[in-house]
Amino acid sequence: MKQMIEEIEVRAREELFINIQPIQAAGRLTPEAMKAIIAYGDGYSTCDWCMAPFRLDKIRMPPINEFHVKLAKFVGMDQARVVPGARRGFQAVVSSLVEKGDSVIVSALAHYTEFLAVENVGGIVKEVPLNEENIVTGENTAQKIEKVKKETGKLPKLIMMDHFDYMFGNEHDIHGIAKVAKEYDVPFLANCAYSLGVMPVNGKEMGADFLVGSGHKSFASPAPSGILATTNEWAEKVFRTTQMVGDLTGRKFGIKEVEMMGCTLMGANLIAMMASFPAVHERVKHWDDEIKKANYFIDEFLKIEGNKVLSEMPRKHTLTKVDTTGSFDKIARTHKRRGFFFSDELKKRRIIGEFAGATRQWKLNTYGLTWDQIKYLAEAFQDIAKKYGMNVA
Amino acid sequence: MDNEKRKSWRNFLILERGKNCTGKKLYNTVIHYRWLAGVAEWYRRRAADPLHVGSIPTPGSNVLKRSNLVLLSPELMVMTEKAVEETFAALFALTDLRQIFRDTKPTYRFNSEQKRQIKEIIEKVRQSLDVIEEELTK
Repeated sequence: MKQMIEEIEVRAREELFINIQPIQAAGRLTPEAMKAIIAYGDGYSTCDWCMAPFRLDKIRMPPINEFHVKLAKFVGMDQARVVPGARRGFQAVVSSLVEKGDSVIVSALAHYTEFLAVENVGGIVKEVPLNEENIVTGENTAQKIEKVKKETGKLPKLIMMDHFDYMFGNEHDIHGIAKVAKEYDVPFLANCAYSLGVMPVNGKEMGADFLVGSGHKSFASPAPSGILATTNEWAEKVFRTTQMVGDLTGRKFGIKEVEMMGCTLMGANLIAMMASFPAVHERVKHWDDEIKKANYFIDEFLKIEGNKVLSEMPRKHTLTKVDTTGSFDKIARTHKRRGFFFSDELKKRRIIGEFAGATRQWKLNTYGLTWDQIKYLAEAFQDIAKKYGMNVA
Repeated sequence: MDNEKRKSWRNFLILERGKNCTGKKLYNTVIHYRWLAGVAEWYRRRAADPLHVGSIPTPGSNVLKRSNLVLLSPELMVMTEKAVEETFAALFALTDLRQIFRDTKPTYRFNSEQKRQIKEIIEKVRQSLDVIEEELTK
């Protein structure tokens, strides 16, 4: 592929290959978002029409203020802010609620940025163990809270739990966990990085006090982008405005939100997110189709002798962790290209996005592929298996 | 804009464009300068700026050197606007083509609707290029 400028290649992976990369699939931009990048990726940093009261979520042209209102409604919360990635959402909430030495309950599959957000304020993470199906339950969460209470004499300050995790793409008992959080009166943050924007998500119905989503993982938006939404009750705390006054000049910047560092997600990223919103709003209604396609693919994948699925079955998400130790890895052990033979074979069939060289446990995501592409993908795996003498049922 | 600032701009423009620069002509010149300076810069009031002077404290400090200044004719404005508009239209149409590649990869077996869309996109890009050529080379 030609280079745009020296050493930076044109990115045409999405036009030339079926990309099964596990964590970026639903962040793939819509054509509307790509057009927004063409038009607004030109030095625009949201300041063109920034007028009183000088805050990102108040800008009327383009209608950023309106987008914030629609976004809050879309996720079933009272207020929403755009943030540069889900991680900044965790950070804002943790920084508002947690102090040095406080405990925060997270999942044993929590994303590392949840750890960092807690560490940043001197808090301590306490992980809830998974059950035998790699699911976090309300019951296990309650047990962990009791344990923390016994050990520290205090309740945890926050519970942060994934709706769907990044490792298996499993659905966790988010409603049960929310119920436990209410019983113990501990605020609850639902990490919906892999659900908000691909399936219907309603924060209040879920019982969440905070909802965090990822633009570049599930909202057809460029990285970094994300969403932090909350209730009016908690908005006062997390979206609190600055009280600081300059000692020399007496300056104050009243409306700026401390945790948001004033303005949050700016420029082309925000406009692209807004441009994708109508399509995202529509696509969540078709999540069932995505699940049908994912399960069709997995059924075909499992016809290859030795293949296993490590995620919960049947699939409730398009991100799946698979185990090919009993199939493709057997070939890799003696192949001169080792595990890379598998990548080579996939690439020959115009498929990319697997973890290059991995032939044991790895992840894939089928989100957004058409039925033709899903069938092609399934046949491609079977074709490779047959080529190397594996049995395909 | 406060009176003092308006006055200073008026004086600057009269100096710049000559003493006959009044009335409609002055108004058009103001519009022209606003365009040069950038709408955002003209209107912006920064919360961080206690003096509320925007980021161009001296009128004209960011415009071209006087010797390079030309009064842009309305025809020129329309011509460039049209060409720029068609440049974006062509880029957007090609983005729709990218989406067709994405939807049909890696076999690119197009159905009748996609074939129709491809023809439409190509036609649209051609038309845009024609307008750009016509506007910029006439």
